Amino acid sequence: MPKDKVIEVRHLSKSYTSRERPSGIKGLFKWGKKKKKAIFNDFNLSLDGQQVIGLIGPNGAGKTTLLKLLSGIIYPDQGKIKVLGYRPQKRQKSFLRQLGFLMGNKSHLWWNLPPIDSFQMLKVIYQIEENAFNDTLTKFSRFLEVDHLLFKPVRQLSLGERMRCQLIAAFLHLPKLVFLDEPTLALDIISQEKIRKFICYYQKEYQATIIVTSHYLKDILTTAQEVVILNNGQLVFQGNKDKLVSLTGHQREIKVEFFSPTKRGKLQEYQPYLKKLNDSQAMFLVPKEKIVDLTKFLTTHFSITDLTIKEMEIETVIKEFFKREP
Amino acid sequence: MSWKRWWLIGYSFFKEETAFQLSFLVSKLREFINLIVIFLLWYALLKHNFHLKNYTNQQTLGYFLYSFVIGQIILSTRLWRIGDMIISGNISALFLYPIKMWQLFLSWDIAHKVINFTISLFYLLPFLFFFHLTPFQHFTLTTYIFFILSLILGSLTYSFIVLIFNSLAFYLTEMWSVIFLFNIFLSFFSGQFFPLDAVSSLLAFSPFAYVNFWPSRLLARSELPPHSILILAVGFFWLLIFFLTFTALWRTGLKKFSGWGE
Repeated sequence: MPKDKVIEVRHLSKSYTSRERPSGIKGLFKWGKKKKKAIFNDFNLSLDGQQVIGLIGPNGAGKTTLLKLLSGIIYPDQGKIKVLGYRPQKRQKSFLRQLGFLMGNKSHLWWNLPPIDSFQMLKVIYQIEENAFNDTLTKFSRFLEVDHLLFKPVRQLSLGERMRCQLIAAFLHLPKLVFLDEPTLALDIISQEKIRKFICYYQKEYQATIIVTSHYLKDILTTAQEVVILNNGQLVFQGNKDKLVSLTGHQREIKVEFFSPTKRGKLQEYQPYLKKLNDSQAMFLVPKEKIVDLTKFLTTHFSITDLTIKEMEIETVIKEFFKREP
Repeated sequence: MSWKRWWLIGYSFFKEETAFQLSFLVSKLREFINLIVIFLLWYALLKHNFHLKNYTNQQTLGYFLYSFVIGQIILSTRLWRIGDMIISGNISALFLYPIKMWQLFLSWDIAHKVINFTISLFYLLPFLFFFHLTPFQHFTLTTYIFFILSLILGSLTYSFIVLIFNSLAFYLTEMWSVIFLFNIFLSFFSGQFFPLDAVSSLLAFSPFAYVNFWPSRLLARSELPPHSILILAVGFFWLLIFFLTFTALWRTGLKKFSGWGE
């Protein structure tokens, strides 16, 4: 299927101004200094449609700001943005009808009412036909396993349940383009998994374009086909997920806590994988196939109080990425 | 979008308002007690030969009672929440809806006014009965038209004043300090404490007079004020000024909006 350019950003600049006040009593008597922080400066981006795109970057890289700019919530200082052929800041109805946005803590759900009331209101706002609304709601709520929660006030739902209901709210009008800002943040593993599956299902079923930001590498690796990496408002990588996976994705982070301070020399055999060593704590980045050997080595030669194996964090991925592709 | 749809949005808002039934009822009871206190205070004053210029005792009592009910229509608004939504960034969710923002605000506002007005009728009836007050007794078609126009004018004027103050949230994070001061000023100059024309006829032409004084006066005295066309014309002039100010502040504010809080 041919892919269209759904997003075109040219020479985008955006900065924020904030005031910084000293803490304590002093701060009460001062307005604080104005500080301007440039988020984007002459930023360019072009994205194809009908796929899931992972937007990753360290904190403050500009991911959320970019999504807000692309959805028209905020205005750029300079530059041109085109999304689905529209200028988002004009907020045309025909554009907004094709857009879905799940923002971390900016809820579409009314806190004191059950989700069904919010969905009913969204039905009215997006002018969704009664039958289409019922079909979509049934399908999505069953998929996300929240069909038994639709009549319970939102404030009584757990974070995971609430996020799944929010996801329905963002997708209910079957948008062509969806922005998901940290959809799995602070959720349990089961909820994370359901959300990932739902993202893949929706993209395939409705041929939509979905842009996901996440701090969990697994979100990106399991859902996205294309990856965009931002760092300090700069586009540092854009391409197929496989390239990122081949560079970094097959590695795992192993953190070890030794009983007593350990010297680097003792870990010589695994020196190339050792990324950090502070007295009695060490961090290794190892390929999957080396995990068993390393843990065996560590448990045999050292007294260990703690050992954890986990996926690489996004920040580590980006650091590694820079080392390999300067 | 059809009015039926706006009704549904308003109805959702109504459900949100009444989600905590007990708190809702107790807040209404508090308002009722407040009304009794103010009314009995004026009743006691009038019993002791205190008179307001241009008003009979019966009209004075009526004025305060009607002013309260008019307040439930005109002054009751949930538009004040917009400022907080701007500061917290929660308004971002509303920016994504394919509807005109002012229509959404209007449907919330009407729902809120309908709830408050309906309940205030229950407050009103016992007072009308016990104190033999007859608000619409000498009303003619012209008086009704003037009354309805002044009610609409007052509601729109107040809504735009509220929207102007809430738009300040795009520029100031401490906009509530300005709002607190304004509310004290408004309760004084809108005629909630006394009929404005009993003090100075000039006060009656300020924009705030339309928020409470004119419709309350009409009900209390059951007669058209002199220069009623001029009064309406001045009212619409103020409305236009407020509308233009709000539009300018809102449009510029949108460009400054950063959607903090995520």
